Amino acid sequence: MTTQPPDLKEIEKEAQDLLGECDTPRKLEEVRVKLLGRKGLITGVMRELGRLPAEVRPAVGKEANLLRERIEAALAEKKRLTSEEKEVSEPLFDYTLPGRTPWLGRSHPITQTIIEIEDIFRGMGFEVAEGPHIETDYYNFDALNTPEDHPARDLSDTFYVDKGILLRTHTSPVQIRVMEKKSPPVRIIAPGLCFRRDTPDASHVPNFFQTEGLYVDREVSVTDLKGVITAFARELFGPKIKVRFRPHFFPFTEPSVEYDFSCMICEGSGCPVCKRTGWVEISGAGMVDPEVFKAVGYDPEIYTGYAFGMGVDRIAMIKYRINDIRLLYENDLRFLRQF
Amino acid sequence: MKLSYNWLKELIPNLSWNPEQVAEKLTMSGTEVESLHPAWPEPEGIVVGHVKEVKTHPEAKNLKVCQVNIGQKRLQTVCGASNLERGQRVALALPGVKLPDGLEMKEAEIKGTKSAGMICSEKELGIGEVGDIILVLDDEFVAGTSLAEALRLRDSILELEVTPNRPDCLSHIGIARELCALGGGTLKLPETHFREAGIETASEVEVEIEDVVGCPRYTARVIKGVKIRPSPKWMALRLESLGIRSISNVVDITNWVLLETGHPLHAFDYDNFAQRRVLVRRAKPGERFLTLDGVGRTLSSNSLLITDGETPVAIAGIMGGEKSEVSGSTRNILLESAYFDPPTTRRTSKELGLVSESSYRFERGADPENAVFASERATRLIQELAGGEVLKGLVDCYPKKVAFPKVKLRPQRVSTVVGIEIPKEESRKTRR
Repeated sequence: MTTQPPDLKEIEKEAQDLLGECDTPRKLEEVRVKLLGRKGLITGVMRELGRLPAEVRPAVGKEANLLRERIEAALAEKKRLTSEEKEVSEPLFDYTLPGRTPWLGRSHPITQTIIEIEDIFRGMGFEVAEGPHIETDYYNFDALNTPEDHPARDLSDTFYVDKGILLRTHTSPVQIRVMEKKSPPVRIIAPGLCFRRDTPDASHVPNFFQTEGLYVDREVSVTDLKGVITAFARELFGPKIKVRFRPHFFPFTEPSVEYDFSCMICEGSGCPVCKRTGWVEISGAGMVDPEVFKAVGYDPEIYTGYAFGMGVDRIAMIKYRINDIRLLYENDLRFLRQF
Repeated sequence: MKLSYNWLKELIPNLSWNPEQVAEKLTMSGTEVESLHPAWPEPEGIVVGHVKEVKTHPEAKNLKVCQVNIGQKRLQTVCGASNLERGQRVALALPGVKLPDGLEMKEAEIKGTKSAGMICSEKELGIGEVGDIILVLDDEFVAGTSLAEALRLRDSILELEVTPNRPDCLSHIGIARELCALGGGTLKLPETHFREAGIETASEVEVEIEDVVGCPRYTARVIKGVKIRPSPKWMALRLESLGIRSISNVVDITNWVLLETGHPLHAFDYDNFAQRRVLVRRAKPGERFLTLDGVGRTLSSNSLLITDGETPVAIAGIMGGEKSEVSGSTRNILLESAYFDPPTTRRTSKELGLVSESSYRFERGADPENAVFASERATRLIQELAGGEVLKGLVDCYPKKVAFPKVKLRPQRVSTVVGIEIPKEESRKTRR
């Protein structure tokens, strides 16, 4: 069976007519399908080629291919024209759209916690003091009754910058710096960064925030310390909170305590956060050791005082129910936007 | 530091607090208990069996068919262990029992012979590493007794955080004393009685201290003709439950007394001393010494050495030497109970990067007055468990008594610092 070769000229004319009518991208697409789609005119021609007698097939095939190339070129040209027309024909800017609100930054949860701690203590008559992150052996250890050979130096693994110069391991050096400059009464808190050589895990990072507290005057006693810590806990976490003090040891206070808050998450009934004890350890405190007073030239027979520390990160973690301290230092915006 | 509740109970027979209460009392008095857990797995239904009869299995010559007396009745059980013998006391897991590794005991037939229960190895019981031979118990155990009871496996381990100001709490007696002060009972010190015989210790060893600052006191005893062998199971198990590897009776006793009294001791193989003397001196700069952990160490003049007059035998208060270590062939022992000063010990330990149970205590501060008691306690245990003849008298080189500071307590000052009035009577009662 043989077939008549298609009339390529006729087909080209028809195609030209179709293309001539296109003035929008949508119409152009319809025409493209009519010509080059699976059932399109040109596609039909190509399909028919196989059925032609062998002697005419090469010549007609060549013509048909050229025709297809011409049509494709014409389509592409038309497409370029219609899309350019579209851009020109549509408005560039809609003045009636509401403006985009720029995203506002906010305080880091640790900053928020420090501000809250400062507010509470200011309300109780404390001033905010600061000290350098890079400290000397003297302020970090010696003046705090922790001489070179003292086993308490084992308690913290220290980053040394140079011989005798280190990154402070606690905020307690601020006590010394303040007392050296000022006579009693002294009533300060000192929030800030501290550094220890800990391997990061869910509850340790090598740099962390502490807040130091110090009150020195005549006849300051353990009862004052208990009072101020309890008042602080209630202010921060509400009136139901309980505080407990356990005897402990620090070289720069005597007697020393560690203090715990009742677990705010399970309210004392036991949960993973408090390791089922119902209590969350906050930090240490105590009555300033007379040796520390001697180092700054205060007379321990006249003055007594208390000092306390508190882990700012830990308080932030309890307050915002964060279970991994590292989250606070990764600065992932998806995390920070939640506070 | 790890503590055994049973041990505390032996030191305070009238202790009325259970392990949880002890933990709570200690935590609230300043020695925080970080964890409390059972010393060993305590599977029910494992009993002491007395092997009455052992026959070769008719179908398999590497299996044995045994008749085991478990008190009221006998069980027939098939066992493949190479060290099984007639007359042994063994640990038998009864049918129905689940071992710590999850294996469940069933009555079964092994190649046509009925077998009930299983004779267990240490490893199967979860109390040791030996898994290829069965555990053989001491002959004194009565068939049918539960294994947990026979080996005193039922115990609680308390892990404590002892603050650096309380080196007196680094022992069972120390913590027991603390519990008594908290109203837990009355302290009963362990037995220290032993028999002396033969010649005077002083004619067998001469002690000289060159550096009395580093070593204010050195006491020595000589015990002749001891038999070194493995420790009894109760001692080995208790030490291991507290994290100390059992080595041999004499070495274990020095560790036992360290955990009991808090005073570090050292036992030397006295036949390895070139001279009959102990000289405590500073190391020469660069002096080399091979410690018993097999490491060669270079010392500075900060280090204090125990020597036999010339050659070092130990780094004072830190670690003994390999050459004078007590071994299976040791016959004669020199028992050291000394007091080394904290800064000296600490400096050397830091310089060498070497921390031991002994250095940990000396650098925090041992009690020079505890040296004699610890020595007597160890001597008593050595005589009991390793035999031997304890020479007469203790050589006690203590040139200048360590002065104890007097602490003055001013009631007025107490009120000022504490903020409440504490009645004289209450104050006196607490300090008792």
